Amino acid sequence: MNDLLLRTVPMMGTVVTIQVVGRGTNQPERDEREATVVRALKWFAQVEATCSRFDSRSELRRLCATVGEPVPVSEMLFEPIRFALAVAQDTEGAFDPTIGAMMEARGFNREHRTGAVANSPVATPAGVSYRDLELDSEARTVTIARPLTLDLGAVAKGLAMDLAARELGPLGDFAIDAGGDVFLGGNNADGEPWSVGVRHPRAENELLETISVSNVAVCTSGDYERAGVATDGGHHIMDARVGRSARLLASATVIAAHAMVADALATAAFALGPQAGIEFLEAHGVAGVLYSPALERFATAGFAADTAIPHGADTHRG
Amino acid sequence: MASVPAAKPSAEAAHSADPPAPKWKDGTYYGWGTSRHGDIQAAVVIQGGRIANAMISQCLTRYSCSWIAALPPQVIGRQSPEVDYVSGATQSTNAFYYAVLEALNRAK
Repeated sequence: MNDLLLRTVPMMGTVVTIQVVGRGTNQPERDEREATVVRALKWFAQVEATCSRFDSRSELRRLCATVGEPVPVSEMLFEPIRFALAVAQDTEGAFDPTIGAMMEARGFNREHRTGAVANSPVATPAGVSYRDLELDSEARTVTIARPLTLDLGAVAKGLAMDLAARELGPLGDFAIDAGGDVFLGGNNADGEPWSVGVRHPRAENELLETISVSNVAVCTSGDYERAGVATDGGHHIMDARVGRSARLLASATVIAAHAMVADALATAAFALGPQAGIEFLEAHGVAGVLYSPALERFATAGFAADTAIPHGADTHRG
Repeated sequence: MASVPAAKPSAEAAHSADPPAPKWKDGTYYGWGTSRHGDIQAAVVIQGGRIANAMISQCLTRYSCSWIAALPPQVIGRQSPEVDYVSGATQSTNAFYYAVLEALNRAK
């Protein structure tokens, strides 16, 4: 008998669901599973409390209040900043974690639980970028050269998913769904690899393709997410080089062993566009599929979809 | 989106010579779903082992429930999710979806 444990909670501006597949478990085992899921969900709350730009008490906001001197930070803040900075360097700034003020100005400035406007008090000069960040791995400090607001939106949720996945690992078969970014551990209730659909960017209930995966994260960045929020009519994924929404793609899906990598690289590939995006993903050794607004399909060599390419879509490689 | 355990695609069942035993027991079942907009309770009616109706029975949201009013027929039409999860699915419909899934888990 399958006995399923499913918990859904609102977290980090989205809905997080954890599913654990159980087979013939007894009551103590069920209690243990339940406790594990609670611990896994706590990671989301902890990462949010640390890395949110919407919470004036977050460690991220405290860090951004100090300019021009090294600030010692926790591992939970240092690691996502270090990773985001590396992605920014690799994309020559198409992806940039220092766009917080720009995002606020574009209307992405509301705390999701209360709906209250949560603008950072930091007045950011024009032209700030990832080059204004300096990290010291030995001392675990971050130095911000000019006033700016960090936006770890593309990495923090992935980090929380990875921490939750590590917690859930001993349970074997589990799934984490954080608003369409998923981590699939082991197998589904049928004992088979998890099937994951890639959402059609223009039709909420349609899939473009289906993949079969195990022990990986699958993250998608789409121009349809948080639609209607931006005051400039754009969407939430910036090409920070030009300071506006990236327009060459409608969605970018990445499969990687870690959600932080899949999430950030999907956002970066989206910002880079189809050709540069595929080259970037292949250089990082991850699999991905990108769709243009006209539904042209671009896939990395390692991306295997086990269903047919959608009718009418052109296929490009590399 | 979450899987309905042991549920095979309905198309397969429809083409099978010997229809499998109904995967859900008849009755009305309730489940809760949570979204950034608040909590939603779904009521799912199972008749003859299939979803006959799915509706929003309670809505504890900060906004009107009308934004998801169009969903129930889609759920009935699909019978069960064709995949375990959808990458890129955003949260707008998930509250109702998860509420239906929770209700269906009780129908086993």
